[in-house]
Amino acid sequence: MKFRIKDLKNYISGEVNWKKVTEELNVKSYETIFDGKVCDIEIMPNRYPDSASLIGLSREISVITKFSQTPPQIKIKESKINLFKFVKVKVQTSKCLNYFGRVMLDVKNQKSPQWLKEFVEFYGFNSVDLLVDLSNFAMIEYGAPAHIFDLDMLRVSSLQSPQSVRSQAKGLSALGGSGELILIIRESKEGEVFQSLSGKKVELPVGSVVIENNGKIIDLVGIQGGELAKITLKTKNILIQAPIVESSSIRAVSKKIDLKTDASHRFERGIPVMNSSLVVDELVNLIQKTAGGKITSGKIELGEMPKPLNIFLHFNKVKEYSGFDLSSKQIEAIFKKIGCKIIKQTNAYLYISPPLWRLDLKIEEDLIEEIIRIEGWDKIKNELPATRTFPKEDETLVLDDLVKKIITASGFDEVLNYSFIGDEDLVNLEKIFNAQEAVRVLNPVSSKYSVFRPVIFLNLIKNVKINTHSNREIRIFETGHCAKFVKNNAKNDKSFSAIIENQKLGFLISLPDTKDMLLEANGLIKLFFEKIGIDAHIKNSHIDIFESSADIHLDGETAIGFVGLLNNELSNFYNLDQRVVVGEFDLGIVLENMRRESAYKPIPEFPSIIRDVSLIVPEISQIDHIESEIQFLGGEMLEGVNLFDVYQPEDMPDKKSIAFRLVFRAKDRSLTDDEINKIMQKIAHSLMDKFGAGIR
Amino acid sequence: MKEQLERILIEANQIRDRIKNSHELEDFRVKFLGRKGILKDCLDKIVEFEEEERKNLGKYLNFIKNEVEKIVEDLEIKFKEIKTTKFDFRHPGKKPLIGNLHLISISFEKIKKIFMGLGFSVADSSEIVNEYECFDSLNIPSSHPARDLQDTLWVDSSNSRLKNNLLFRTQTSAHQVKFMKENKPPFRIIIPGKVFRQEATDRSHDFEFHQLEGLAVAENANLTELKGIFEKFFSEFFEEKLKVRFRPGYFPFVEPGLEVDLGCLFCAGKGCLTCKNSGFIEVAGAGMVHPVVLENGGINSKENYGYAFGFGLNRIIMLKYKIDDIRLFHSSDLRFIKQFN
Repeated sequence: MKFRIKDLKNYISGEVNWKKVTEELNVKSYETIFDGKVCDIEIMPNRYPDSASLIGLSREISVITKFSQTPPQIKIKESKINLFKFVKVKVQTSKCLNYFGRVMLDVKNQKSPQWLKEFVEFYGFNSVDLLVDLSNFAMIEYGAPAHIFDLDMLRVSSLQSPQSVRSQAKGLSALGGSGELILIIRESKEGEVFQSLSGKKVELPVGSVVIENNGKIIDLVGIQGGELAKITLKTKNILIQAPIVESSSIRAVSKKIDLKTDASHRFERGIPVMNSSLVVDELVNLIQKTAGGKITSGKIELGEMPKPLNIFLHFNKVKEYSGFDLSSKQIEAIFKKIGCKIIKQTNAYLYISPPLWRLDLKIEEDLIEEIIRIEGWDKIKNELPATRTFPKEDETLVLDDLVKKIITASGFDEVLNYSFIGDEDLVNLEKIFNAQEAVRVLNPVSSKYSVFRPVIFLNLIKNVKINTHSNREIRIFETGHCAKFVKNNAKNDKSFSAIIENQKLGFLISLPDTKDMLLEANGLIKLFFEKIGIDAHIKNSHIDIFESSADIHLDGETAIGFVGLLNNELSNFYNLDQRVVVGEFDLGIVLENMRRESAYKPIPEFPSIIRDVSLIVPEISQIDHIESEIQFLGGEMLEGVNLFDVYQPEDMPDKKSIAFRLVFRAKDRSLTDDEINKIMQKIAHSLMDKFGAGIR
Repeated sequence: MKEQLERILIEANQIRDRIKNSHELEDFRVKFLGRKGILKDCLDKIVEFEEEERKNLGKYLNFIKNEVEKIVEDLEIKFKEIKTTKFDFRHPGKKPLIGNLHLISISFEKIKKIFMGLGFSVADSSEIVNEYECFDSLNIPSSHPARDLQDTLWVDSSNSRLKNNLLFRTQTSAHQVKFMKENKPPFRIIIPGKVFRQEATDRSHDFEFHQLEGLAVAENANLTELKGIFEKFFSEFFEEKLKVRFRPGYFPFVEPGLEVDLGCLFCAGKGCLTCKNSGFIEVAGAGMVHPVVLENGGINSKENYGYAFGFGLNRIIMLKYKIDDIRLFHSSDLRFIKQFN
C-alpha cells in the first residue's frame, strides 16, 4: 500500500528523516520502498488491521523510532435532535459483530475540493463527491470502512422503485416525519439479488450479510453499498455506518460473486472494533467541517466491545527462541512502547495485555516476535546445531540417485518435463492406459497440461523434436512421479477412492539406425537390472502403440515395465522425422524387489575356454528358446551364454543369423579343448535338430 | 639327431620370449638362420645320413626353419609397429559416451550433501496432497487471506468419491504435519520436491518448480541455529562467504516468522539491478514452527519447539549459474542440459 509522506506528516510531530524512518520500517516492520515522496509498503496480512492506515502507520513509526504520533482530535458538536427518531437498526445475524452509526441533517453535498480529490485519487479511488470522498478519506485515516446512505431515500424506498424515489425525494425534507425507518441486518436467503453501486446485479450466495430496508436489500455489508439510497449531490440527510462482519463471511461472499473492494480487502484481514467506532465519529466531524449540517445526538452502537487478551510471556522462552539476553526491564519497556499493559510481573514471566488495535498479538510466540523485531532481527547470532541428529536419506531418493548414476553412465541425458500431459496425449495413450483413471486438473493452466502424467515416456517423445537440430543421436531419460486414480479392491469399490503416486523411470533412444537403437535399448535394460540387482525377464509382447515391444517382469509375473519401438502413427502424430524406442520402469516395484545384500563372488582360479557359435535359423525362431537349449546342454561347465550378434542376411529373407559367445570354466581344474569340443558338437547337433539351425 | 633338432626348436621358443628389441632379434636371426647358424650347421650334418633317414630329418629341419622364420617375421612386425606409431593429439579424438544429469539433480545432490553434513535427514513426499495437509494443518483455514497468496491447481475428483479435496501441492510445507505425525522429535529434515501453482509463466515465474522444505524440532533448534544453518548452507552452496539477513515476515505456520535475505552475489552488497540497490536478495521464508502446527503434528508445543524454512531451488540455482529465465529448466533443450556437471 502506498502512502504519501505529506499525509503521514500530519500524524507525526517533529522534523522527520523519512529515509531513516523507512529504513527502520524495512528492518523492523514491513518491506518498504521510499522514493522521496511516497513510501510503498507491503503490509503483511496479519499487520493489515493495525497498520494499513495513516494513523496505524504513524503509530508503528512512533513505536520503532524516536518520533511521536499526533492523532487527530475528534470534537463532535451534537445537536438536540435525537438520532433514534430517524432510524433503528436491528441485527439478526451473528455474522455481524458490531454496528456503529450516526445521522446528520442538512448537509450540503458538493464537488470535492482539489486537495481531497487528489487525496482519494492517490489512494486509488475515483473522486465522486464531497461525502463519498470524505468517507474514503476517513477509511485511509483509520483503516475502517464506513458507508453513507441518503436517509431520505431510505425513508421512502420501502414503497417505490429507485427512479420514482429519486423524483419524489426533492420534496421530502420534513424531518422526523411519519414512518419509522428500521434497518435489519440479516443473512441473505436463496435467490436474493443485490444491485450494487457499480450498477451490477448480483445473485447473492445464501448467508451473505445484507441490510434490509422494508423488504429491499440496500447494502451488501462490508463489500459494497447498494444503488438504492446512494449519495447524490442533492443528498441532505445522511446515515453514516461502520459495521463489522466476520472476515470469513466477507471473504467467502466476495470470492463467490467475484467482487473485491478496498473495504472487503480490509474486512477479510480484520478491523479493530475501536477503529470502526472512531471512523464514524471522525467522519461526522469532517463532514460538519466541510459540508456543514447538524449532527443528531446519540450514536448507534451495537455488538460487544472486544475484551483485551491476557498473555503470559516467559523469560526463558524468549531466550530459548531468540538467544537474546534481555533483562525484564528491557522487555517491559518494549511492550510499553507497543502500547501493551503489564498486568503482572514475576521473576519468570510478564502477564501482558496487548492493545486492542493489535489483532495479531494472540499468543506468547507473537509477543516474542515483537521483542525480536524491536530489538532487531540483525541481533540474532548464528550458531551451528548444538545437539545431534543422525542424517538418513529416504530409500526412494537413494534409489533415484543410483538409477540416475547407472543411466547417465550409459550415455543418457536427464531431462525435466512438466508433470502434466494434455487431453490429446491421453487419447493417444488409451490403448495402454484407462483414461478414467487419469488424474485431471480442475483448473489447468492450459489444455496442454490438463492431466497429471500417468507415464513418463510420453513427454520424452515431445523432447525429440527440439533436439534434433543439434543431435543425430538422442538418449534421454527422466525420473519422476506419475499418478492415477485407483479403486480399493479389498473393499470391492465401485468408484475411485484414492490416488496412487509412483516414482517411475522413462527413457528414450533415437539413433539413425532402428536396429541399433533396439539393441541398445535392450542392452540398457539388461545392464540396468543387473546393476540394480533384480532378476528381470524380458518377454516379447504386443503393446498397441509400439511396432515391436517387450514386457519386463519379475519372476512372480509382476510387471515392472516395458520397452518398444513407437509405431509410425504416433511418430507422425508427434511430428517426428525419426524412429524412437522408449521404455519405462516402475521404480516403486524395483525398490521392493532389489537385492540388498551383495556378498563378494570369488574371482575364478582356473582359466576359461571361449567358443563362438554362429547360426542361421528361420526368421521366426525364438532366440530365448535357443539360448536356454544351449544353457541346458552346456551343463555346469558353461559359465555364460551371450548373444552378440543378430542380423538379417540379404539373400535369405526368411532366415536370420545369430551368434553366441559361450564361456566354459571348471571350478577345480583347467578344461581341455577335447572336452569342450565334445560339448560343442552336442550343442550343434541339437540346435540343428530342434531349430533347423545351420552352423556356420 | 632328431632329439638335437627338437632341443633347437625348444631353445628358439625360449629365446623368443626374451627378445626385447630389433637388435636382439637380429642376433637371434643370425644365431639360427645365419650362414654359419645352428640350422646351417644341422643341415651339413644331415647330409651325412642314409637316404631314408636324411629325407625324414630334412623334412623336420624344414619345419623348424619355418617356425623360426615365422618367429622372426612376427617379431619384426611387432618392433616395426612400435617404432612407427605416431599420433596427432590435435585430432578431436573419440569421446566416451556419457550422459548429463539435469541441473536440478546436480544442484540437489550438492544441497543434500551440505544439509546431511549439518545433521538433516532427507524425506520423500507425494506431489498430490489434500487441502488439510497443504493449508488447514498449517494454520491456514479456508477463510484465511493467506490462501490468496498462492493460487492452487486442484485435482478434478468428480468421478471419485474422495472426501478430501485433493490438490497439487503449492508448497513442500504440506508435509510438515504428516512428517511430525510419523516421527518423534528430535529430528532435522529437508523435504525436497516439485510444487505447483495456477500461475502464468514468464522469465521468473513457472507453474511448476522445485522447493526445499526444512523442519527441525530439537533442543536448541531455535532462531540462532536457523541463522547458523542458513549462513553455512548458502556459503557452501555458492562457494563464497555470504551474509544472511533476517527480516520481518509473515507465514501463518511459523511464529515468529521471517524473510531470509542473502548478501547480493553480484555487487558484494554495493547495490545493483539484481538486488534493486538493496545489497540483499530475498531467498527464503522461515520461522519458529507455530504451536498450532506442532499440536496438529501430535507434538506437545509446551515441551518442544523448532524451526521451519522453505525456499525455491530454481531461484538459488538461477543465482548461482546466472540463469535469467526459469523456463529453461523445463525446456528439455540438451544444449542447456549438457552445460553443467
